[in-house]
Amino acid sequence: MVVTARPATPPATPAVPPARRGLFGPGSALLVTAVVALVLGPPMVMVAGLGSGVGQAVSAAVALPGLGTMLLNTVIALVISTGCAVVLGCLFAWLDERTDAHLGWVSRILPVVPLLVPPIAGAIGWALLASPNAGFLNGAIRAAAGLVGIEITSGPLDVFSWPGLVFVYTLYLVPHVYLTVAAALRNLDPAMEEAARVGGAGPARVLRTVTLPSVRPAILGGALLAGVFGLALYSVPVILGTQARIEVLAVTVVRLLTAEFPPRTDVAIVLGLVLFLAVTALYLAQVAVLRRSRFATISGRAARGTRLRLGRWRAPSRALLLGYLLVTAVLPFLGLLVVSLQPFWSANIRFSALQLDAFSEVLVGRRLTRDALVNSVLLGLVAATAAVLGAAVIAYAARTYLRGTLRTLVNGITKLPGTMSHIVVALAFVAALAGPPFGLAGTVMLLFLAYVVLYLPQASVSAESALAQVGDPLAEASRVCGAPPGRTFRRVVLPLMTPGLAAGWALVFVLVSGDITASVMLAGTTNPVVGSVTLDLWTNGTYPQLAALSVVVTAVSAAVVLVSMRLTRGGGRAPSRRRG
Amino acid sequence: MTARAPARATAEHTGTDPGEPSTAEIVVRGVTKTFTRRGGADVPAVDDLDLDIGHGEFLVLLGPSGCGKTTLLRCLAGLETPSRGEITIGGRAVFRAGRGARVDVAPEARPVSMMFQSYALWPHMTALANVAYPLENRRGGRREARAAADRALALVGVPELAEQYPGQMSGGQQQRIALARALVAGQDVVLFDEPLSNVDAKVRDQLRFELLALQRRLGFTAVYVTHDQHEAMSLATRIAVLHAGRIEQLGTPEEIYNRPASGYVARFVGVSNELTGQALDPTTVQTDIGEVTARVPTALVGHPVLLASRPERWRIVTGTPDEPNTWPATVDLAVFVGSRSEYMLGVGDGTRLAVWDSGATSHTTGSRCRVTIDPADVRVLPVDEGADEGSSWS
Ligand SMILES: Nc1ncnc2c1ncn2[C@@H]1O[C@H](COP(=O)(O)OP(=O)(O)OP(=O)(O)O)[C@@H](O)[C@H]1O
Ligand SMILES: [Mg+2]
Repeated sequence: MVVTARPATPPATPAVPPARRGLFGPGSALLVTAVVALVLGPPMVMVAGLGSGVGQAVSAAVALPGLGTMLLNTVIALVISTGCAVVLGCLFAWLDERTDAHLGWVSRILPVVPLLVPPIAGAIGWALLASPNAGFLNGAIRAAAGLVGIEITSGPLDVFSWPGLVFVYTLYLVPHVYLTVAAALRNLDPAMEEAARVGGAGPARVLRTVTLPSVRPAILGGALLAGVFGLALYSVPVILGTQARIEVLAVTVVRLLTAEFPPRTDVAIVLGLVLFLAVTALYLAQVAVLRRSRFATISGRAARGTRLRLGRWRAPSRALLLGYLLVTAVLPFLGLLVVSLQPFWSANIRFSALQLDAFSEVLVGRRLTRDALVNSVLLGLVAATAAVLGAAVIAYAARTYLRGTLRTLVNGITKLPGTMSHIVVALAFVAALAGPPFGLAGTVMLLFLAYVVLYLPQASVSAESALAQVGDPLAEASRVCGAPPGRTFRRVVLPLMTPGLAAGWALVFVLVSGDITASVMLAGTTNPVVGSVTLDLWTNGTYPQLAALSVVVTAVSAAVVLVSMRLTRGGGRAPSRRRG
Repeated sequence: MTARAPARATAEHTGTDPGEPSTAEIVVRGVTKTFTRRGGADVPAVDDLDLDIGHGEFLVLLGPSGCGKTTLLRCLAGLETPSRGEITIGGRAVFRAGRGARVDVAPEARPVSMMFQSYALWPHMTALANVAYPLENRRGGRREARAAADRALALVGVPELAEQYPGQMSGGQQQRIALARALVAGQDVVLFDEPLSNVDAKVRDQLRFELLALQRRLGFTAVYVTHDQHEAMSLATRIAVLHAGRIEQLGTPEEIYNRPASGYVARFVGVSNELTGQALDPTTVQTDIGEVTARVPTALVGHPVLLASRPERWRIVTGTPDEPNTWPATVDLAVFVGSRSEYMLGVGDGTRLAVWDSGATSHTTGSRCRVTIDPADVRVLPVDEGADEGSSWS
């Protein structure tokens, strides 16, 4: 009867359908409650659990041997590597955004380098490349020196040292600075710089007096981001610092919990709180800076200016950009690959002895690594799906049902784990859920819950930006067409969010399957995961298998990241390219 | 029927104000929607507004940008929650706050559909799937929904687009799909938020006439937002001119144009010559150009007033007729615009008048003439804040 004429008078009984009460509203309320409980509950239980023993725990922490040195180490390592990362990150961003050294793909690859080669694989790779005796680079340098008649027996490079530690830290902090500064440069109208050029300033002077000051908030923001990340970074210092006897805060906390018997949970919690406060302070500083930067950045789509011609500096600049990718991703991966193909690790590569034994051992033969791989991939699949779908429902429900402060609060809580360090979150899960009444110690469930909470911020950021792209009118049109919120979500909002969610899913999958911090603290012996097993293999010195495992994990991460980048870049919403 | 009985019983008892019973399709009583701007200032986008819209009526909400048209429409659709007031649609209270039990019916449960300014077609669905969607929601039955959607596409003249995605259509075609989607479920009330503002003038004119024909044929009640007065005039059975969240005047297009209730309405709808002055007695107003004869409402006698008149009501005359309201003038500007000649005349000391004449341009710039208007064509209005802008000229 659709579009036929109606009687002139309104029907006696107005044809209003009964309001269908879907399950979406109550369901999403339940989900939000569960997530809030999971995010806020464990840290609260952890702090409360300290209870009256807090004084004792604090004095035990203060009495820790070498506490002062450890804290000083942490500060030194972070300040120096963050400083180096800021210089390099700004330089790379400027080269790629403003000069003819620009290589388009670098700006896409550089920020995701830590995902392509996870820090744990990078740190191990560098240990293989530059340990004083068996490091491949050292072997190559010594061979080259021998050709010109200089005999060296050990070194000259030593990655287990202050310079080595700071170097690898820096490699992993650079992307954070690069990302924020490059984004700011993209939004900065090149006309400002061109005006300075026309006004008689040379390129270096323009960079110093116009470009860098204009993006100063972004530089600061990037530096703080790098600092927060570095403070919580566990894999690099545990691999490189331990052997050099340089202990930092993150390593101490994990050691207290996993290497001491009985575990000194209370002391670990006190140090975890120190870490939490430090990260919070940095985070608040960053929020303040970024808030101010909103007024400092010059908005509007920048018209592409011509790029600065570097002339004879162009080739060295490009070499620098490529060099970074080389030392961060390519060399460590090659190091891992070589060791994984050898019967044992030595500085001299024997090409005659290349073999796949380590791979067959890791993938098939050895139960521990095989289970770890299966567990990590399964946990990655399930946790990424749960986190991303949950984040999508929460983002949509918050936009539909909540207003004002409550909405801000819910959206804020999903980001909260990002402001705590992974160590603190894992610590809180140990304190709250491992023992009675939950008794989840060593279970896959505990790992799953911890992963979901740890990577909820990433899932939630991608869900919110995907939702923002869908825009209000499309969802409102569905409501006016008679679809309640749940149906609107399923039929209209979710399908349109899919490209954005897919990217978020890939990110969370890679982070979960390569996670090390939470894994070391939460995985039991009966359900190993890649992170915990990698460290075991490192400690036991089973290098070919360790390398093979790292190669597999790196290959999986890189494949997932590259495929998702490819899909989301070509994807977007381009209905015209669909069938029809 | 039984399942719905309680809801309807409530609606019958409390749906309309007992003081002023209304049989209208849409009844709006005291609706206020206040937004809080960043920084804390409260903006009443809709301000204590009353409105009755009859069954089958085509009501146009007209007003300048920011006067609250969209907000009012969204309140009717249930997409915006008013701060206060009561809305009844089809005899059923769909919103009430501030008096009695709170009612706020969700958008999907209101007997309305809506056409969005941006069309809001879902890019992941074909035209057919877009149009079938409301029926699938409201009645179920995928097969019948598709069949009905096909008929609706034919009705708006684009049956061949059924399998296309919105990204593969022109703006005008998307508009027709959006129209079909708004009409397909046969809702009693269809809301339109500037649906024609995104296409070129030719397509706009054509769609306007088709829309009007469809509305007359299907008999739905239309509430239509626009800030284009030409569009408003040609579509409306009644126009509500909005000003800062309130209705400044409600009436037929003819009333709004010929008998504007205020300078604001006169200025917003069409071009208006304005003179300020003092009403001396029921037929005389003292102005800068001398005494003007007009019908002064009793309440305004002895007060400052605003005289509003339409350019096409003035006539340029030669010779010296002894009619009232005749003044000598100089032609400051003469423009021929095709359908008429438009003059800007100077009268007295610096008063300017827009005068339109349907003939060819017979007076040249700089020439002298006399200009006159029938006293019945001069509206005497209370002075408002926009009164000093003088006459306007298009
Ligand atoms: N979500 C909001 N938050 C704060 N203020 C709002 C919001 N939506 C509308 N407003 C304000 O309410 C007032 C009315 O807005 P509305 O969109 O109803 O205007 P409009 O008449 O539709 O204008 P236009 O012709 O430009 O579409 C404006 O002052 C606007 O700034
Ligand atoms: Mg509007």
